[in-house]
Formats: sequence, structure tokens, C-alpha cells
Amino acid sequence: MPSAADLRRAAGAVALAAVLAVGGAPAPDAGAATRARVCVTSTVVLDSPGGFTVGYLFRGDRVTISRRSKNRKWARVSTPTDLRGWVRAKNLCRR
Amino acid sequence: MFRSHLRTAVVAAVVTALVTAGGAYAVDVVLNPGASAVVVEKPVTIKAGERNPVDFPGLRGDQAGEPLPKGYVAVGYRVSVTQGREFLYPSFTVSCPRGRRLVTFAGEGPVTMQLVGPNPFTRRTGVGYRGKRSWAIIVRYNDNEIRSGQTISATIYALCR
Repeated sequence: MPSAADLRRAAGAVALAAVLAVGGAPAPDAGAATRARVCVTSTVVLDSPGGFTVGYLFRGDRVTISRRSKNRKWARVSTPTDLRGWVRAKNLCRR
Repeated sequence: MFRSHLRTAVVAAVVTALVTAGGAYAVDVVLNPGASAVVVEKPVTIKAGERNPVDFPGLRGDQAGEPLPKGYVAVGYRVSVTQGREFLYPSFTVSCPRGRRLVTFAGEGPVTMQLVGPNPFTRRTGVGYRGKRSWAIIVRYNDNEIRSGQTISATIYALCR
């Protein structure tokens, strides 16, 4: 008779297999945060792509990109100063 | 970057008190020897039809240099920063004229802003300023490109409707 631990282990293995079967690995932009820095004199940070102002970033400011818009023109970023919002992707470059 | 939340809070309190009283005010070495000195001048109001000083993000149809669209009022706060040995990022409360509500913010030049929240003591950044009469902001400037003793200044604008 299988123990409760055996059952849990088996259930975990089945769940993992199911995730792998449907391609559960996230797309690069969906989950992986990448780091970048601002490479223009200053750029506005908006609450949504084309939205309203949340703050500004300056050249050299470091950001973490959590996602991109569908058209890839906007990147959602966060900063060490607790500033979160969307900036034009063309204003960012790799660290 | 924000080395002391307590210091920021103290500065915020002083600036808030001073902005309530109106007129230009300064935050400097009295509170924090060696820190940057920041001066916020009395706000200037730009009415609809007058020259629009900046492009306001989120507002369609406006353009810097063109008349400010009907129904809007812009409030400009001239801010000067003299860099000291320590960086200082004071916050103050931006207010629309009586009967008006915030639409968006804009900055031009080397001194800009970052939202804080409904008041300078908000612990988490609040972005829901639209429809509110006032909102607290932090003065931000590029600390990579300013030398000790150098003074930079620019105007931070709030658009109200």
C-alpha cells in the first residue's frame, strides 16, 4: 500500500510532466526580468504605454525590465527608488 | 540613493510647511550639513490659451510652444538644486488652483520629479493622482552629471483641469 508521501511524490511528478508537455517554460519576456540603463538625457516614466506621468529617469539610471508591450515599443521597468512604470524601449540600452 | 528615510521625512515636513505658507523656500545645511540645497519658488499659473511650456504626457493635441488647450491650467514650480557633498531628494506637495484637479505632470531640463503619494509621508508610491487636487512629489535630478557646488534649475509642471 503506497504511503501518503509516495502519493504526493507521484502527484508532483504528474504535474511537472503536464507542465512540460504543454510548454510551461515561460517566454523570455513573460517572466524573466532583465536589467538595462537609460541611455538618453532623460525619459519620462508613464503609468501605462502612452499614459500619464509617474516620474522621470536620467542617463545612466539603472532599471529592471519586467515586461514589454506587444508592439515592443514600451518596456515596464522598476527602479531602486521604487519608481515603476512604462518607458519607451528605445530609450533603454543593455547594461 | 535615498540614504535616510528619516531625513527625507523631516525635509518633507519642512517643505510641506513652507509650501503651505507660500513663497519661495529652501532646504539646506540647517537640517543636514553638507547636503544639497534645494529651492522651490512660488508656483506660476499658466492659463488656457497662453503658451504651453512643455508637452504633457497623456494629453493629446497639446504641443510645447502652442496655446494651452481650453479647459486646462498648468502650474509651474521652479526648482533649483545646489549640489552638496550628500545627495538630498526633498519632496513637496504640488497643488492645483481651487476647483481644479490633477491630470498629469511634466518636467523639462535637468530637474524633474517622481511621484510619492497623497502626502509626503506615504510609504508606498501612489500613482492615483488623477482627479485629486494635490499630490506629493520628490525632486529628482541627475546626480551623475552634477558636481559639488554646481547649481542646476528647471521647472516642474502639473497640468490641471
